[in-house]
Formats: sequence, C-alpha cells, structure tokens
Amino acid sequence: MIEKFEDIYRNRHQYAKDWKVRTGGKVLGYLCTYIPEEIVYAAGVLPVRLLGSHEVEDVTAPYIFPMFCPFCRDTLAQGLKGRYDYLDGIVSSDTCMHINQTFDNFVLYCGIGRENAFVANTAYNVASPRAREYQAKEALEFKKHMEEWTGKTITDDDLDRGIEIMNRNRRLMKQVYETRKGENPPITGAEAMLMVTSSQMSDKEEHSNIIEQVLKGLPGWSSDRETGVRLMIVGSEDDDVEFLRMVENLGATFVVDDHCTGTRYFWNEVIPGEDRLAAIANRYLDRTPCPIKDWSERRRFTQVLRLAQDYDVQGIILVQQKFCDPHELDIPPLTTLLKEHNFPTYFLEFDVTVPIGAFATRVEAFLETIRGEELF
Amino acid sequence: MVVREKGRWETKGLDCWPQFKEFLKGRYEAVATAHDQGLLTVLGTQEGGIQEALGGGDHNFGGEPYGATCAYMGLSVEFMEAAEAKGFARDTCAYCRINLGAMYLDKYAFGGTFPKVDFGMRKHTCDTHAKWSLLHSEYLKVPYLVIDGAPGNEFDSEQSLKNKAEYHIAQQLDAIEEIEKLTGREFNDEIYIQSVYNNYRCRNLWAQVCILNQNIPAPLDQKSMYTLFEVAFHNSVRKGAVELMETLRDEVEDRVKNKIAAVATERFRIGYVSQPPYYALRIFRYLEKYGAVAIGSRYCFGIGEGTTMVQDGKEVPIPTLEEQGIVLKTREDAVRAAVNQTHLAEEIRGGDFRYCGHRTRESLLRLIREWHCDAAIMHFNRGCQGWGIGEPQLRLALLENDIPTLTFEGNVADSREWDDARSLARLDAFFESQGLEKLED
Repeated sequence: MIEKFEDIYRNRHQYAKDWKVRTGGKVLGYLCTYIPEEIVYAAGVLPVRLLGSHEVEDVTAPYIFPMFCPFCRDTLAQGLKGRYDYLDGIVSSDTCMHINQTFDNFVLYCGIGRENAFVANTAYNVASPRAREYQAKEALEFKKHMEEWTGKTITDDDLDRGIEIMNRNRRLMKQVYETRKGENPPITGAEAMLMVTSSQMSDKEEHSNIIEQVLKGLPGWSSDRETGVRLMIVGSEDDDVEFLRMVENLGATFVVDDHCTGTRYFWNEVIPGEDRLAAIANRYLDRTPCPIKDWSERRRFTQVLRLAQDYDVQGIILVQQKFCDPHELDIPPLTTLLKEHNFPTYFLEFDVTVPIGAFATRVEAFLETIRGEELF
Repeated sequence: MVVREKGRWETKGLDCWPQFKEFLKGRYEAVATAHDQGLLTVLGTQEGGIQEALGGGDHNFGGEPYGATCAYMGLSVEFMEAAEAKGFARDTCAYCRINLGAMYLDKYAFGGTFPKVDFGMRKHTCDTHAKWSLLHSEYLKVPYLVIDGAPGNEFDSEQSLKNKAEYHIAQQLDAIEEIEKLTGREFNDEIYIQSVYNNYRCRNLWAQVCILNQNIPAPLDQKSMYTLFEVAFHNSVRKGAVELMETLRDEVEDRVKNKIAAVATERFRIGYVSQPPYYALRIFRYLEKYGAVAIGSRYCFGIGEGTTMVQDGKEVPIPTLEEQGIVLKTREDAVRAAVNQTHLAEEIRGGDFRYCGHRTRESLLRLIREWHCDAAIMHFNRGCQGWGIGEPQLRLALLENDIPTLTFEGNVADSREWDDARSLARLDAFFESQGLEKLED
C-alpha cells in the first residue's frame, strides 16, 4: 500500500486532473502549509500543494532572482512550464516574501489571474495573545473569499467536515510516525516523506483510507533492511526523496523529522470548539512554528529536541534551502542547542538539484563518526 | 529615446548640507554614550518616540541605518566575516550580518565597544527582522519585544486591512505596557504624542522635497538624498528634525524656482530601483559624467511606507495630522495615528512591501512617469530580500512599457559582491545605447 503514496507523488498532476473530472470540483494551489485547508475542504475545493520537480531549469530567471529560495524557483518553473495548467486558483498565506514572489508570478504569468488569487493572511507574532483574535478574523475573511469564489455558502457543518477531514489525516499520519519509534521502524524516512507529501497533493479522505490500510498491515511486519544509524532530518521545506533514499542506502534510517513536508505539517490537530474559525486559527498558531514565526520563545527548538529524544535519534542532518534567511538564522543557535544535548549534527545546503554523489561522501563520513562510538 | 540638449544649468551644493551631516553624526555618537549616561537605549526599530517617551534619549540604534553606514565606511566586511565565522550563511541579509558581527566583535563603527542597550525591539515587516533582533537580544541578554507589522497587500479585503491595523495597534499598546514593566519607567504619553506629530510632519516635508524633484532640472540627486532621507525616516523624533526638514524643503523650492540643478549637465533622467551599494555610491557620480541624474527611488522616497499616497493617479504627500484635522489626545490616539500612516487603504497605498504584483508595478511606473525619467537603473541587490523581492518582475513591467532599463548585480552592504569594473562597463554600454557620450572623464 505504501507504493500508492509514491504513485500519487509521481503523478500528482494527473491525480488532480482526474479528481476534477470525477468530482467537477475546483482545485486550489497553495505554497505554504499555513493555509487553513479546513476551510478549503469546507468549500468543497481540493487544496494541492505546489512543489517543484528537482530538475535543472532555465525558465525562472526573468521572474525571480536566482538567489531566492530554490523551492520557490523550482515551483515557479512548474507553473511557467504549464504543468499546473489545471489549477483553478492559488492561495498564499503571506508567510514569506520568497513564496509571495512565486505567488505573484503564478498570478501574473501562469494563467491564474487576479480574480482567482487569494491571500489567507496569517499572523507572524504567533506568540502574541493578539494573534488569536486577528487570525480568527482573517480565517473569516478567507472563508468569505472561498464562498464568493465557489458560489457556495460554507456552514458550520461544512467547517466541521473540513476539520474532521484534516484531523483524521493528521491523526493517522501521527500513528504511522509512532511506529517509527521502535527499534526496527517499519517504514523508511523516504516512505514517510512520500506519505506526507502525497497527503498535500491529494484528497485527504482518499489519502486517509490508504493510511488506514497501511496501518493495518504494520503490526507484526518486519523489514528485511537494517535500521542502522537512527537519523533525524531538520530544515526548510524539503521533498528531496532521492536524497533520503541515498542516505538510507548508506546504513541509516530517518526515524523522524522537523520540516514542512514532515511533522510540522500534521503534528497537531484542530481542537474543535463552538467558534470553528477560532479553533482553526488556533491550530495554526499552536503548530510547530516555521522559523519565520518562531520568536521569541523558540518553540520550534523545543519540539526538535523533544522529537530527537522521543525517537532515540543518534544524529541529525540539517538541510538548508539556500537563501532562506529565517531558517539560516536558526542554524547556529539550533546547532549549539543540539550539541549541548549530545546530538551530533551535519549541515547541508540544498538547491533545486543537489550533488548527490558529493553528499553521499559527506553523509557517509558523518555516519562513520556516529558509528565510531560503537567500535570501542 | 529622449536626449535633451547638452545645456548647462546653474548648480551649487545644498546650503543646509553641513547641518544634515552634523545632525546625523550626532546620532551615532549619542548611541555610544547613552547607556552610561543613564539614558534608555533600544536596539532595533525605533517606533516613533517610544524610547524618548520612556525618558531615553532621542538617539536611534536601528540596524538598517547602522548597516548602511558601516558599508559606507568600509567596515562591513570585517563585521560580516565575524558573523559568518559564527555559522551565519553568507547569503543572509547583509545588514543583519553587519550588526551581528559588530556585536560578536564587541566593536562599534564609531569607536569603542558595541553600545550597551536596555532591550531589543523590532517591528517585523520583512522576513529577517524579528529573527535578527532575537539573536541580538539573546546574545546581549536583554528583553526582546517584537510587533508584527502586518503590512497590507493588494489581495486584502477592506476588512482585512482593518483587521491588520487593529492587530498592529493592539500589539503596540501591549508592548508599551510591557516596556513600562520591564524598565520600571513611566511612559510619557505627551512626549510620544508629539513624536507622532513630528513623524508625520517630517515625512510630509520629505514627500514635498521628493515631489519637487519632478522638476527639470532636478534640484537634488539620488546620492545626496540617501543622507537627507535619514532625518525623516529614522530621526524624525529628534529635536530639530522638523525644522531641518523645513529648511531643506524651503531651499529645494528655491532651487526649483531659480532652476538650480543638482547636476549642471542634466540631460537624461534616471529612476533608480532598490537600495544602492552603499560602499560604491560613486556610481551616482559616474552617471553625471554622461549628464545623467538619478532623481530618486521608491526606496528613498518611502513610497508605500508612510510618506506619499496616491491621489488622482499621482503621488502626493500624506497630509500631516494637523492638515487632516486629527487631534491626538491619548496614547491610543497616537499609536493609531502612527499605525495608520503605513496601513493605508488600498486605493491610496502606493505599492506593497511584501508583494510585487500589480500595485507595486504601477507604483514604479508612476515614479518613472511623474518624475520624467528617460530610463531606469536597477540594482539586483543580493543583500536585502525585502527590497530585492519582485525586482525581476519590476524589470519586466519596465520593459513591457518600453522604458530602457539597465540592471547590475550587487549587494547593498557586502562589497565582496561588487564588481566595480563590470558595473561601470555596463553603465558605459547602456549610455552608449541611449546615444549619450561622456561629457567628462
């Protein structure tokens, strides 16, 4: 069943097109996981995360600086090449300026148009008590946008349905992640990443059904691969599955992560409440923050440490999408914190494509330094 | 292309220039000694008089002006290398690396050690702001307050714009109460109210000056404006700031009346885009060898940032509070006025800081048109993501409107990313393409 995740991931565009034909519904592209997808589902619209293809590209330079986020450039390349021509609309959460620029370009140059573009504003000062009221009000504005766009009134029942669709998917993915705490995790890090990214690209009700089948098959299932060194991957947006596969072929397994195609996406649920929009808003304020919003208490660092401890991690690979200031400014203090807690780290800079051979050499060396403890 | 006659205009330096230099130099000296004198010092964004209202001095230790000044003084590389040695990537914000590096080296560009501060405070509008100041505050072990600036964008509904303004106002009021507790000082509302009035006056005056530069010949040049705008933008609360800006406005009006040019040989006008390479401001003098004058930029005019607004399709100064008939009686009145200065309604806001869609493109085209520019020069600036965002799109907007455009790569404050010879060669080629030959070597 796990291969179904990869099937969705590899054939994401055809999946969305087929969904449109099947349901007659609209597809709304999004770039950042701070979008309140609950409201999108409540509107009967399919939210799909826009991601890149990790291919060398030469189309984005007139539209976005080469020294801007690789994820943004790669995603924009897909739009400029027409691969997202089935999108009916696009939404930004105004999370970071690089994503905003990709969003602007999709609107101006990828056939989306101003009338099908929305911003679901999210607070940056997530720790401020004032953010709760603000975010709830903006959730209401986004709901109004969706109602106007679809011509459908979104009721409380619709919001309850949207919340349950998202919560169920989160709950199930977390259950899968729980199994990775064991000595012999039944799924690899690459497979886990495929599970999460395919969730971002597909109808979550369908996706949850697949996870339930996977969970049924997990108890008693044992892998024929050695777990090896237990690793954690921490960083910016990353869906470089091939990188994870490469590392896991070197005698290691990624058992947990902190990034937005991983635990940051699904770790906490909406706690239902009478005021559905406030409940949704609070979920996004309370989730593990993206570094761009993580001030002043550094809640992300606490979560990274907790996951590393809970999952018995032996080493942490810090992946940094180049040119992302918020993540880059976290790297030195995070590295120091992890070192203080005896977690060895290794830092790698990522771009649209990565030098997989050179990275393999470096990661091998990192793994050897970790295993070195076992020799004596 | 438009190439005017190679006439010569009367020219002379600004009479008030020495006053501006003296005024601004005093700011950095005050920062160095303030804490030892018992004056409160805030590191970060100076939110219109908060420091003064707490009995602090009127000195301003904002990160961006300090970063730019360090670059101008040739100190940026030393400071940035110190930050990079601590593990900060070389592609992070140049100002951020300069400020962090100076702190790590415990060195102040104006002599002595890094100034002592009482707390860090930041209004977060660009992605780096809050993270940078957090690092400062953690290292210096001082309290840290941050306000989500929540700037508007062209996709916001009218209600969203109101939500953002109210959110900003509420945070600001909370922050003032928090600072009172942290410092044990009482916030003087009267001083704060006066500072908000002054900020509006200074920015209004600066807007008038910028609009006067629409005249031919331009009374001011871009390079000089980088010094002049500092008073309105980061020093408006200081005693004498309003008077200084009035002096400037009056002198510029006189220059317009008497056709006194910034550049005697003005025959070609350039709209500049983004920040300058502060360590290489000589490029603006290089333009003048061709009889070209850079008349300003959205950056130094403060378009979309509380200086001008759009009325009947044109940039006009945001009226002062007095002109708007607004009377500030309470702290909340003052905070509301300060926030509303930048949270303008969509139809009058000139450009969005965090987006580069329709509104920002139109804002640049308006500048080119209203300031009678013959061309645009764009600094593809790797050192500041806030001002770098959307530049490629702005270039496309210029080309789509047949505006000759030159781009060159660089960095606002990291001189290691600047190639003098290449950049000047590009300028030479560009002017040649516009039919201009050098008037002097």
